[in-house]
Amino acid sequence: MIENKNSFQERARRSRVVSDFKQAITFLTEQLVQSRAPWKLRIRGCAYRYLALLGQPEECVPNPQEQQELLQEEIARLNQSVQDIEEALRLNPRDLYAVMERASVRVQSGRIAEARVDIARALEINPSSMYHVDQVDGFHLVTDECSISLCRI
Amino acid sequence: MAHIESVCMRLTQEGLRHQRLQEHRQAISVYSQALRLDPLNARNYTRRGLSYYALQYCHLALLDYNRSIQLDPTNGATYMHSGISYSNLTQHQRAIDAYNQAVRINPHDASIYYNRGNSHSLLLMHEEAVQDFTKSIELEPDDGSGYYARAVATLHLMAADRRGIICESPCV
Repeated sequence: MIENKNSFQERARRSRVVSDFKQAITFLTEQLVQSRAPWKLRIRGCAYRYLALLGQPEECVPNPQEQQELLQEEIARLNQSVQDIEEALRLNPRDLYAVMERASVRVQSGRIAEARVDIARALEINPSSMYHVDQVDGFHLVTDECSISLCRI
Repeated sequence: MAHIESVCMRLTQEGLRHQRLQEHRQAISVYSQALRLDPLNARNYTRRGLSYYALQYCHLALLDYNRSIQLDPTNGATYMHSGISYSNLTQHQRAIDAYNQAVRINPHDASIYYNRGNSHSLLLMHEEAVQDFTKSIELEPDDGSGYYARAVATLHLMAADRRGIICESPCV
């Protein structure tokens, strides 16, 4: 009974998280038409990445074609995330959080060597940012099995 | 007396102009002149504090904010700026205390809830953070950053619940 209640709560929360990220993207996109603030680009980029990471609802078992579509959607979101972060970094190359976020996107895309370059850059911007570096992947937020840290790769 | 008032007003206008142009050193110098003439002007302490903060002199900013609060404890904006400085110094509990005062005075200011939510997140108080971001969204439903922050705080809450332990501090 408790387990059911917990899983119901978990699903409700997950659904709200997805909805919040989508709302964030919608409103940030509207705001970005007026001004290309680097921090807004960074946040939208993060929202795209989280959405890609969250993927499909846990209860849904898609057929192979749906699976393919979901995969394409995930790739599109990751690409959008990269575009936003790259633009944020063009506007403000010393944005520590944007550098970290790009490292996270690169980890998620399996581009570990490039992620390492970002980590080095982050430490160059702020040598005391090791604490943040340890948080780079952010995967522990979604799935325990993906809870890796670049420091341990 | 009238002469001093008019000089102070002129200096304040000059300070505001420098701040708009991001000339914070000049703004500090001008506000300091104004405060020498009128040391009881709470708003000018807050304004000078903002320039100190912009130059990352958070301790000096806080001295000015505190002086301003002593002179005028009813200005919610000063409490909020004070919270932001404490947060920058990673004194998150003090930041929350300052935001609580700001909320008491300006309960309809979404940015105070948003900032307090960030401080709660950094103290791993994810439930409180989610509540703050929800309030911020209620007050400003068109602001994308509130939704983003609530989503991230909820993920942290889920991760903490799943593990039955407090998870690591978030990267805000």
